Amino acid sequence: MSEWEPFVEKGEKVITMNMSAVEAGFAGTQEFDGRGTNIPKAEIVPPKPVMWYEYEPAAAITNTGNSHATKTGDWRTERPIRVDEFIAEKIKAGIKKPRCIDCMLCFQFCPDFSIVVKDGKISGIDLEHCKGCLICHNVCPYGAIGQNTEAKAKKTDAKK
Amino acid sequence: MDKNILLRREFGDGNYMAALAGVHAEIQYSMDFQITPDTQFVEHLFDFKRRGILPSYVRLALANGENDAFTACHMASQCGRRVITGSCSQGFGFSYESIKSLAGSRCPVVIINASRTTSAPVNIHYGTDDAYIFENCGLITIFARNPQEVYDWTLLMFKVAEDLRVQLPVIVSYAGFDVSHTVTGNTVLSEEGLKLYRSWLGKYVRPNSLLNPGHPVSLGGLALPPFHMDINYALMKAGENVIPVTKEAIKYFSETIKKVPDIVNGYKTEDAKYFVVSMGSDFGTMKEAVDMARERGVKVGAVSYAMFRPFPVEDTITMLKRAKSIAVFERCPAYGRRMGIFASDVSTSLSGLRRKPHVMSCISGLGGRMFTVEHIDNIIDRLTRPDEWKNNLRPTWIGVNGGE
Repeated sequence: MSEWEPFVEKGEKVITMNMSAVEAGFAGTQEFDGRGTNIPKAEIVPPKPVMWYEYEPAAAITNTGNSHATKTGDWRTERPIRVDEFIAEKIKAGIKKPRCIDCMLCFQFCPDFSIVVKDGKISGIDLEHCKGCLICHNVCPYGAIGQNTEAKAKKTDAKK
Repeated sequence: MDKNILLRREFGDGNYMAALAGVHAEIQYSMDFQITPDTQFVEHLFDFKRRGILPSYVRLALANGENDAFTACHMASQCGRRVITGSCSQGFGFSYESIKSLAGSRCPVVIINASRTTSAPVNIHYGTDDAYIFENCGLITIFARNPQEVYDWTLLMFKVAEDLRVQLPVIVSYAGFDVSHTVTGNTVLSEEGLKLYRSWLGKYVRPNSLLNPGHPVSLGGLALPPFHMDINYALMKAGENVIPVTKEAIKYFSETIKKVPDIVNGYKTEDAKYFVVSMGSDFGTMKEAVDMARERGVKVGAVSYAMFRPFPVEDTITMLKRAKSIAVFERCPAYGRRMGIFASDVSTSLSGLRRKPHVMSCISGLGGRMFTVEHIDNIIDRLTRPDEWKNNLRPTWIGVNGGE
């Protein structure tokens, strides 16, 4: 029991101090979403060159939440596609039912937060950051996400 | 100001003086691993804390190897703490990665190097090959010739390294056993001198410190090909500021507190035609050899470099441009190259001159082998006949049994 002595002396103050620290941390968090809410065309522009004197010493990174600025979308070799977009006319005509029911499983499993959610519904895939791991395709229970190779998808984009 | 008030006498060897300089510069953290002949530096630091001379808030930690020690010092420096640490020979080899990344991370850590020859075979005596391990890593490298200079240079280098134009780690190197364990009488700062020095040195302010919740930063990022070369260029440009900043520091310290040595020092070089060049404590032997040769009528002078990196090219040209021949002595072997590393630096600094002096590269004193005034006198004699050696394809080794 002797190792608990220091805590016993502080008593309930420890609990109230810790709880106020937790609440302050929670109150201080800010929501930040650096992704676009529209689905951009998968055209990644290389960053413009940074001059040697523009770096901080030791190349320290001083702007927080900047990972969205690194467009990892150009690492993709396979692209996930939302099937509902492909069969959009047939859904409108009433021949087929939409496959996606917004269960949010793809959103939870995406390692890059590249599933875009708007007003409680899945609105698209952030192609500037999606690395094409196809976890969403494998996890969707309704087959609402299919796959295509990036090369073929780029050809189709170019035609549009 | 009467200089006597700022100074007092203290007896100590190289290791003691290095620890004392760290204490006087108000270090805030040190993590060390002991290695002969650097062990007593660590012991003296801990002893200063036990005696209360180092304040109790200073964190001194023992490491599980030099790699841990230098990594912890790297972190402490990134958190804005003033750090001193020490190692040598195999310790440097073991922690090469940690020490090299100090330069890229711009951490102004002062590294005390009680110089010892590297393996294999194992040897504990003086050889500069451990200071040479980092000759191309962006660190500042200083060679001190006696315990007094160890103290002076360590004090100066805290100021130079933390300057916002520089921000580089420093290695203060001195001979293992010959300097690290030889007790001399030295002049150190008294209470008034410490006040003046500490007000000049100031607090260590790190531009992007890790421990600043109002200003979060990410350090140690990945730099892919579009970025890495420019960051390296910035590191190189910081190295260009070292010599001007050091000269400012030397000027202020010499005028206000006491005389300290220059980056490149000469002895009887005003009218000399032949030069013997060295770094570190060999200078004493060089001076005696110069006196001996001058009695014979040879106009020879001795030059001692205190700063090895960044190499003082302009000072080299100023000091050595009127030479006919130069002999450069170093205590690090040179394998498979025309000249030793130090001799190459001297020689290429002079390569633009119209009448370029002949440079003879000499490897001497490896593994702590004694080399004498007679050896140097023999080399000085050969300097007067450059045709005998100017086309040599490798350095001359001095003192080898049965070879050269």
